[in-house]
Amino acid sequence: MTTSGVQVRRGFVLGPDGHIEYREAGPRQERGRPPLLLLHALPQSSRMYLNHMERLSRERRVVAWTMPACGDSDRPPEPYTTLDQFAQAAVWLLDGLGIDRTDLFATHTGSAVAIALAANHPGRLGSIVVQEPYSYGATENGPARLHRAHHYFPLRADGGHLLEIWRRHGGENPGADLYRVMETVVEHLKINSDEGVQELYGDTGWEGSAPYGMLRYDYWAALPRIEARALILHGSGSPLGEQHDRFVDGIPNATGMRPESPSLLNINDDPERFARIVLDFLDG
Amino acid sequence: MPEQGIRRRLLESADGYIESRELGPTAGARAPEAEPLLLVHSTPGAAQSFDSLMPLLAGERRVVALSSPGYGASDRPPEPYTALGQYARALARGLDGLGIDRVSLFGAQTGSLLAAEFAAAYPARTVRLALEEPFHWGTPARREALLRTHSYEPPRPDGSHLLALWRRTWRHHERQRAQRRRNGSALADRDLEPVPESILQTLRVNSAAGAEVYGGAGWLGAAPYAMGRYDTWARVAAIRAPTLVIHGTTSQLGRAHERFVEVIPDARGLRLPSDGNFLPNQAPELFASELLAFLDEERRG
Repeated sequence: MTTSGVQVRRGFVLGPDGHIEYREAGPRQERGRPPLLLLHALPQSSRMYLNHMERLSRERRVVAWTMPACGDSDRPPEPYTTLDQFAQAAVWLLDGLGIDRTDLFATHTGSAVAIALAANHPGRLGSIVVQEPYSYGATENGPARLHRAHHYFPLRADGGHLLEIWRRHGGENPGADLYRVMETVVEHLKINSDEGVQELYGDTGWEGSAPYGMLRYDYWAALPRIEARALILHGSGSPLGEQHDRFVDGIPNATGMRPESPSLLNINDDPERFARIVLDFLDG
Repeated sequence: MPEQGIRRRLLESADGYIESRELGPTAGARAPEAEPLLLVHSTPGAAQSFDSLMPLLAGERRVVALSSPGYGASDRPPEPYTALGQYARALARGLDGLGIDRVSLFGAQTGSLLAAEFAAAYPARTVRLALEEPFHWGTPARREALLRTHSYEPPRPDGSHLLALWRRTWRHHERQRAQRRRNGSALADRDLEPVPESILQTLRVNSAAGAEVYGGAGWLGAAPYAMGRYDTWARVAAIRAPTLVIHGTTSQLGRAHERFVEVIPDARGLRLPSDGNFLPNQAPELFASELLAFLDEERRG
C-alpha cells in the first residue's frame, strides 16, 4: 500500500504466542543508521503511524508493530498480565525481522511497553524517545483515569455500542475528520471483545490487557536499568507531565522536553514537529 | 480472532498484498495425499469468515482461504477490478505465493461465482469444485438487488452510518442463529461470535475513495459489480472439474439449481435443509461431512 508516496510493507512474524503484525518502510536493510521501532497507543495498531512513515523512513528502516491483541495481531493464548510479556513479544518481532539493535519511538500505552523493553533488554536498544509515559498505579486517581480511557463496549442488539465507540473517538466533534475517525473505529473494533477474559480483565475486555500490566508495573525500579540514550516527552499542558521529572531523573542517560501543547502530546496534532523532534534526537 | 493454529500470511502480488489464512498439513513428513482446498469467501466477508469451519475441514488436507483484493486485510487493487476474471487471477497469484499448483475449491454464496470462474479460467489447476448458492446475477433487476445490499454508507457526524451497516449485518445473522438453534448445532453457544466479525469486515470495506467506477456503492460494490456483469452460463459451461452444486431446500436462489447442474458438464446437485439460503454456519458438521465426502471421491477414483 502506498501512503504519502512511500511504499509501506506489511507482514506477520509468527512468535510463540501467535502472529505479530507489522508495517515497515524505508530500506529493507540497515544503511548506516539503526532501524526505528514504533510502538502505538491503545486501542490502535501499526496503522497509527501510516501517515508518518514517509517522514521517518527517508534515511532508516522504520518498523511499526501491532501490540498483541490489537489490530491484526493475535490475542495471546494465555492473556498477558505484565508489561514484561509485551516487551518479550516486541523482542520476538525484532528477532523475526532480523533486527539486533534498534532505536525506538513510543507513545502512551506504547511508552509503558517501551520502558519494560528498555529495562529488560538493554542490549537491543540504542536511542529511545518515549512520549507521555506515566505510572498510573502510583497515583490515587490513576487507575480510574486509565479505566475511563480503556474499557470494553459490550455488543448491543441495536448497534448502540458502535455509536458509543464513534463518540469515544470524537466522531461527533465539530470539524472532526470523519474518515480518520472511521479508521480508528475499525482498529478499536478489532480489540473490542471480552471473549475469554471476563474474569481476568473485568469490564475492560481485551483493551485492558496492557493497562492491566501498566497498573501493576514498578516503573521506578525499572528506570535505572535502562541503558539507552533517552528523550522523555510530555506536552507542556499534559496532565501526565507531573511525573516528567521523575522519568527524566530515573533513567541514567535521559533528557526531557515539554513541547508546547494544551494537553497530551498527539503525533497527529503536528506531524512535522513530531518527526523533527524524534529525528533530531536520534541523529544528535 | 483466529482459531488456534491458523497460519496467516500477507502474500506480495502485482496488485498488492493478499491475505491468506490456512490450517492443516503442508509439507514434509506429513505431506498430505489430498489436494489442498481453497475456500472462496462471499462479500463483504474475507478469509477470516472461514475460521470456525477450517478445523472441521483440515484433518488430512491443507485448507487455505484468501481474501480477495479490496477485502479483509488484502490491499485494494491500484485499479479497481471490474471483472471476475481479475479476481480469479488474484486467487491464482495467491496460490502461486503459497507454492500451490492444483486445488479443489469451495465457493461460499457470492464467492461461488468466483470459484466457478477460477475453475473455468484455470482448468489445469482445478481438481474439484463445490459451489454454495450460485446464482446468475446478470440482469438489471438483480444487479440492482446486489447493489442495495452492498452500498456505501458515507460517515455522518451522528454515527448513523454505523447503525445502517449494523442493521444490514444483524438481519443476516439473525436468520443463521435461528436455523442453528433448530439444528441443535454444536456451535450454538457461539451464536454471537460471527456478528462483530462481520460488521468489522463490512466497515473495513466501507469506503468510496478511488472507487468511482462502482457508482454509489464504493468498495462494498466492487465484487458485486463484477458479479452483476458476469456471463454466467457461458463461463460455467467451460468448467471441466467435477462439480457439486449446493442450494438450501428453501433457498430463494435455489430456482437456479437445476440450470447450474445441467450447464456445468460434470456436475451434480445437493439440496441441504435450510432457512432461506443455505449457509455453512447454519449446520457446520453436516456441511463439512458432505463437502469432505465429495472431495474424497477424487482419491477413491
